[in-house]
Amino acid sequence: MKARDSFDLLVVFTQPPLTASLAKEGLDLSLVNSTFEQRTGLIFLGAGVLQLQQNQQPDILALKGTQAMLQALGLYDIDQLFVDEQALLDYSLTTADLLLPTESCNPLQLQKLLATSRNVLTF
Amino acid sequence: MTTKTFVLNIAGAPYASSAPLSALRFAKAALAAGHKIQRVFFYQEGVTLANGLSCPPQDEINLTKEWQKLAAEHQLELAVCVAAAHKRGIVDAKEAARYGLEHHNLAEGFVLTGLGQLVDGMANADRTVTFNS
Repeated sequence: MKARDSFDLLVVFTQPPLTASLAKEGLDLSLVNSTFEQRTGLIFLGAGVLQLQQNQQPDILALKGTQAMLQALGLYDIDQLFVDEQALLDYSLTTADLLLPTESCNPLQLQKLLATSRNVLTF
Repeated sequence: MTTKTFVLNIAGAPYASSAPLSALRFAKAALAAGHKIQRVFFYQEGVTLANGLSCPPQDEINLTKEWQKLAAEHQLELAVCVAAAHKRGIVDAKEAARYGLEHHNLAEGFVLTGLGQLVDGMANADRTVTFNS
């Protein structure tokens, strides 16, 4: 766990991509939060890790997808992304397969992140 | 007892979830106990509570009216995320004109605003409580 592990807001992603507006609305909030100079961290839990899958083709479903927004996170100084270690195992993924650099966390580390952040919002 | 300042983030739809009703009951209890509600923010499906055209049967609770009543009694700010609202067909007169729409339906007492109001609320309140199911 890196030193900067206490956030003003942790945004938790729990749903797979392209299912509803949830992920987009979570990302919108993350970007605005960072614009207000609030320390913002993102956690991807369960099927939420699939948000970070590469080579998604949302246009086939006439959807917009969130890949571009995810790739813009760095421009907003959001570079603390955490993924659920068990979820990666469940989906046969490693952090190297994901769209962005992330830190894989065990349940205790996730629990600590959630416990030390001022606010948590789940999408 | 110390007085606390709350921000409520209502993200679940009326009637499809119990979020607006649970939040209403929470707000009443908090105010009765002497706490402050700094802002009530509506995001995601929660924005549909601000639809002034919803007409539930007369023998059922009208959640939009209940929130308007509580807000008027306690001068609460009912802030609705503008992007989430537009996506779900909640517009005020000004925005309806801008988009060339024939109708507008934002209920009285609700204000369309940006996500910055939620962020500002979270940063300043003692506690932000989310209601989404």
